[in-house]
Amino acid sequence: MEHSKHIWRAALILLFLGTGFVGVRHFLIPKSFGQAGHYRYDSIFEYMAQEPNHGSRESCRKCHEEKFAETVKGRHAPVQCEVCHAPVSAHAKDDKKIADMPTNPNHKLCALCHQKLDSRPKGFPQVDLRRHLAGGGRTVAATIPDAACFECHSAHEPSPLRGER
Amino acid sequence: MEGSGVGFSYPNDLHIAWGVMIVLYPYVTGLVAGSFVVGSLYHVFGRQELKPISRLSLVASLGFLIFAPVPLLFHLGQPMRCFNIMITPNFSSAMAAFGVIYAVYFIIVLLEIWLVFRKDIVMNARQNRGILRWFYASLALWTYDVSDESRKLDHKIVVVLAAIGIPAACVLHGYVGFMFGSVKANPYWSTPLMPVIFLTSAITSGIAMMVVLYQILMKFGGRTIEPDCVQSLCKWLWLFAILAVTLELLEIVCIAYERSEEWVVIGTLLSGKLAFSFIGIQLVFGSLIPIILLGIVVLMRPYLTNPLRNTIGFVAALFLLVQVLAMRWNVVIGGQLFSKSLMGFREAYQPGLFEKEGLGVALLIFLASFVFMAIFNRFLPMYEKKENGNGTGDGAKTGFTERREAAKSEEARG
Repeated sequence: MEHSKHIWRAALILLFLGTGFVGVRHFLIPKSFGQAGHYRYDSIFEYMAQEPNHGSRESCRKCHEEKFAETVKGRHAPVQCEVCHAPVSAHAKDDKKIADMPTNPNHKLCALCHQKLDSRPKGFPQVDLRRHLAGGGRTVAATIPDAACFECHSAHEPSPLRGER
Repeated sequence: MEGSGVGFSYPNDLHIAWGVMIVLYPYVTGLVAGSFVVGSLYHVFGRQELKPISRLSLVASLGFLIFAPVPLLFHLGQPMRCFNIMITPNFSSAMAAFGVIYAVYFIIVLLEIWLVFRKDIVMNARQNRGILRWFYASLALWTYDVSDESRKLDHKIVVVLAAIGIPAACVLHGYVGFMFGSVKANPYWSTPLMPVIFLTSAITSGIAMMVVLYQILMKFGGRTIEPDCVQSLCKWLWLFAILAVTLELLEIVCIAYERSEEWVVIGTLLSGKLAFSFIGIQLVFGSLIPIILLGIVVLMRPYLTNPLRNTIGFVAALFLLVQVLAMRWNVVIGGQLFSKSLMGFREAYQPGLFEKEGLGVALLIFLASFVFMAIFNRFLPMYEKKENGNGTGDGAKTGFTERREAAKSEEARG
């Protein structure tokens, strides 16, 4: 076995690396890991301690009753305010305004739900944005203006068309 | 589409989440497993004619192995979490097995390469000075014993490692097939044949890569292409290509013949959206043509000159490399093109060129393995320094023309 020195050294290195891995692993695994499943149990309490960002429609209603009334009778009734607006935490804290509510009047926001897709249920209002905009005497635009949808539709009560009403 | 009963997708079943990176991952992993298996044909099964690629195959295997998980990291939204799969593996998930299989296989390949190159490492350590000496000496673990006894011991361990490596390589790539084969919700993937299909096509791509790399390296290094080596590689390549293609077709034929409900969408998919990449590239360009070409190489050996055989083998191997890539594409992307409703298609998938999971990054990752091989070759050459002569070895006289001339001259003498 006098010619096997290199093998023993290689084996020793592997053993060292293996033990090192087991050791490092011991320190890297969080204490509460595996307590109630394959996850860090303490993370639940960390999430519970977080301040909620969203406040649901009811939190908006406290100050914006007229918008609330407009929305709930329209076809956007099932859509919560914070789906299109930012979470309430960006706007108010303890029922007091802390900043202007950021708005996003981009057509891409509307397209998230209304862009024509095969997989949407039939009867759901969906449009091919370019073709839709081409109606009313316009040509098919190369770029769609940001706030294009709001020229005709109200976000709070999108139908019937504003122009026809 | 409406009339054929196809045209409905689930609303939440629209996007293709696994893109080019997930196509590249099984492709590169296949090259790892394939090139290792070719190397083992020499190291374990003693196919002496494959000696010229014994080192190349190991280094190629390591090069591809290092970059095999990189596409996955590009795919992940949080790549730093990849270590969790090693630190807290959840063995009820098949993906957790990757950490263990990859690590074991990596150690085997690294050890085998170290033992095969140990003599060169020691020689370099003796010949160099300064930092290079330190570098080689550390690689040699500061023992310069390259006596016959120690080399014999090395050889024995190499054989054992290669013998363990073959099942490890099969598990590594079988596992990749298993990832797809075990997706119960997808009838195009969900078949126990999938690991076997992936394995045979992996070996095919590995051998094809050896045929291509070996010839390129010899050509540009001004060395002799050993005809027996190419011939033998072509023979193995032919065998595995036939096996791979047969299994790939068997899977489709089974689904088609059963005429079960999934065939409506899979049949439409294969003859419609995937017609070019499945029928055109995978079956005709990538399977039929190279199998005929390799058949010519194997069956008509006496009538082929060496350069002709090498060229045919080279072309067939290139086609097969494309075939295996097309097969990965058709399985990974094709399997996601239809909705889980089995009655409609998802949106078309077109990868970008310059995005995080785009074609540019995919190409760079693929090329990175070859850069690694070039750097490795710079420090530990895979082949001896350039031979004397003009590049025609003894074996070059086995072609039809040469032998006819030799026979003629013998007749004239007789």
